[in-house]
Amino acid sequence: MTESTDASTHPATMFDTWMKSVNDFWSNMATPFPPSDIKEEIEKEKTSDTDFWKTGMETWQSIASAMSQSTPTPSPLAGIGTFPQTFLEMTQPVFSSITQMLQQWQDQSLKSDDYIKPFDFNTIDTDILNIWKKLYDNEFRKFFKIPQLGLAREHQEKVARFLDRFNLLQSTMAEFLNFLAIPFKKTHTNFQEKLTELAQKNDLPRDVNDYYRIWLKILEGHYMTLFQSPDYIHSLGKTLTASAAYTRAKKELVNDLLQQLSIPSSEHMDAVYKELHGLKKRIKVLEKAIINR
Amino acid sequence: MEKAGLPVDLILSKLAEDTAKSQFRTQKASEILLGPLETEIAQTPYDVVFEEDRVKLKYYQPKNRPNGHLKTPLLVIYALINRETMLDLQPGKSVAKSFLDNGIDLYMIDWGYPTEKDKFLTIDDHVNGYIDDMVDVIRQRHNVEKINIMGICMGGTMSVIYSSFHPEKVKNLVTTVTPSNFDTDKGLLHVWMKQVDADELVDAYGNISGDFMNFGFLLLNPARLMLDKYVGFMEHVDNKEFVENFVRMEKWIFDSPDIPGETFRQFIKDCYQKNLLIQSKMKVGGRIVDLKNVTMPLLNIYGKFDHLVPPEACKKLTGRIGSKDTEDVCLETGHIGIYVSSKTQKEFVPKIIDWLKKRERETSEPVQG
Repeated sequence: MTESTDASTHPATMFDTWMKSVNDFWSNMATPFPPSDIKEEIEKEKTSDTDFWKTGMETWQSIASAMSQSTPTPSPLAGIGTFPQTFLEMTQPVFSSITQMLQQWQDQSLKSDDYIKPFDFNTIDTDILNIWKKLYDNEFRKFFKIPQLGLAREHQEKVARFLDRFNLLQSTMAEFLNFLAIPFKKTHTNFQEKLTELAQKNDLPRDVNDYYRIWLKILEGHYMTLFQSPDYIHSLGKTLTASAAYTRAKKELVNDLLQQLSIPSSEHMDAVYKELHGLKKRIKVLEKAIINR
Repeated sequence: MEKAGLPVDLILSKLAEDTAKSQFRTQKASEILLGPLETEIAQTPYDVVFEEDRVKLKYYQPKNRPNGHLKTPLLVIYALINRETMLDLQPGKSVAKSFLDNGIDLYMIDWGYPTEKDKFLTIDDHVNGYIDDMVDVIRQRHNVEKINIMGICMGGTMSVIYSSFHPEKVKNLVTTVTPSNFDTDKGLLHVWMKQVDADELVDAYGNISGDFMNFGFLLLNPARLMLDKYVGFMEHVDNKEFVENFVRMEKWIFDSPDIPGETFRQFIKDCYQKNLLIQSKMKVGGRIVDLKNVTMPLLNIYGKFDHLVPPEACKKLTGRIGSKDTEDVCLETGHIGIYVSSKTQKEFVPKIIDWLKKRERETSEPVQG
């Protein structure tokens, strides 16, 4: 690969030309501003905006003039051909960090492998729920806990909390619903076994409704067993707690919004209700005292 | 040996027979469902004689007063879950009507539908506020010192608390399917409620939604309550009377007011989780509910097959109160069956009336002051 030697296309020449035209442009732009000798007269009328623009343009004009003058020392633009390399050196660490972060995220999402047992499909339904739950708890949840900064940090935290609670509710709800589906699956198996048993005794029902009754009785039995199992009760408690936590997080967000719209939030109304409740009680006591006097 | 197998031919012929029946049933069902249906509930006439906030006091005046009728009025305190319309669900099976036919001045508390503003109402507000005010209204209206009280389910628990605080205003107490001992694992509700974080729920939701409670009740037996019940409906959908009564029951069961949050919180924590009431350790309005103060006669009725409030949750009460005049009655039915089943209708109201009559004085004491 050869480097072009044409002077007109050399980056330094091109930059000088561009700089000159920019300088001319800003000089013209600055012209409408009055010359310094009459500046005193209209000093009082000057606005801060005018000041701002004028100073800015003058500064730029000075910098541009300086940059367009040839220097005896090697111009910094002489090596503008190496600009891409400089740019690359500057941006490389940034891109490197981003790539590392993405890689970290990707690694975390690929960690699902850590939670999956190979060639085990017997508990696939519960496994999927467990995998998602563990994956979310260990790998994803931390993103919603990244400290928020700046003026709107509290609001951002509320949004993150809302999303986190929503995800937690989804995972506990999925686990709970899975529990509710278990008796149906078990009933299906037990029903087949029961039919086989009845068939062996040559005692199979003649009426279709009787088959339904057998199936229902097995289903009811499984539900009764499930509902008393510690796992189910634990899952029920967790789901209710997750649902309450989600509702609270949602309320926080909505309350913020209502506050912005100058509409009383549930928090404000609660305070009013509580006060009303207390006042009514006091009035009732006073009423009774007056009647009994 | 002959190999056993499915009697396919018999099953198929039965299926064919059922299909023909189903066709006829569908035609009939269509006529019934598209025609006029009597599905109104709570049709016995009453007057609202007192109102306070959302709460109303309903008065059912008897048309006839047979000889030897009860002169002491009866106040029925229903639970905060579902509504008191259950006592007047359908003609011919109305507990309210049965009391009226026996000449009883019947009062019922209609708790209404709590809204957000009611979330801070406690058990104390219900017992020493609304109930006490209504008891006073009845005492004044009938010029009597004491009245009879009948509590139902959670309403029974509140009537026990009330009787402990105000024994001077209660002549006889009847508790029906009333939980007082919560330390049992016989009912699923008792098992589940121990795991419920009442603080979390109340802090998040305020009032506890009636639909939420109803979903919980359906979960107690989903096979029967969410499946078989409707299979049964489809099997009898060609029977107009059955359909009407079924719809009445559906109307009642899914008419669920919310429960005021603070009341729910205390009921779950103090009763279901700490079982304080039966130990006379529960505090209401800052005062201990001492069961020894329940000195009036007590009739305690419960259902043998009650899956919500099992006998174990009910029967300890009679042994813990101050009164020596107590009686336990276990009926062969469930939680709702006590009030609506044809069989128990013949036992339930007559038993209460008979028991009350035996304890009724010929003259009621006048109200002091």
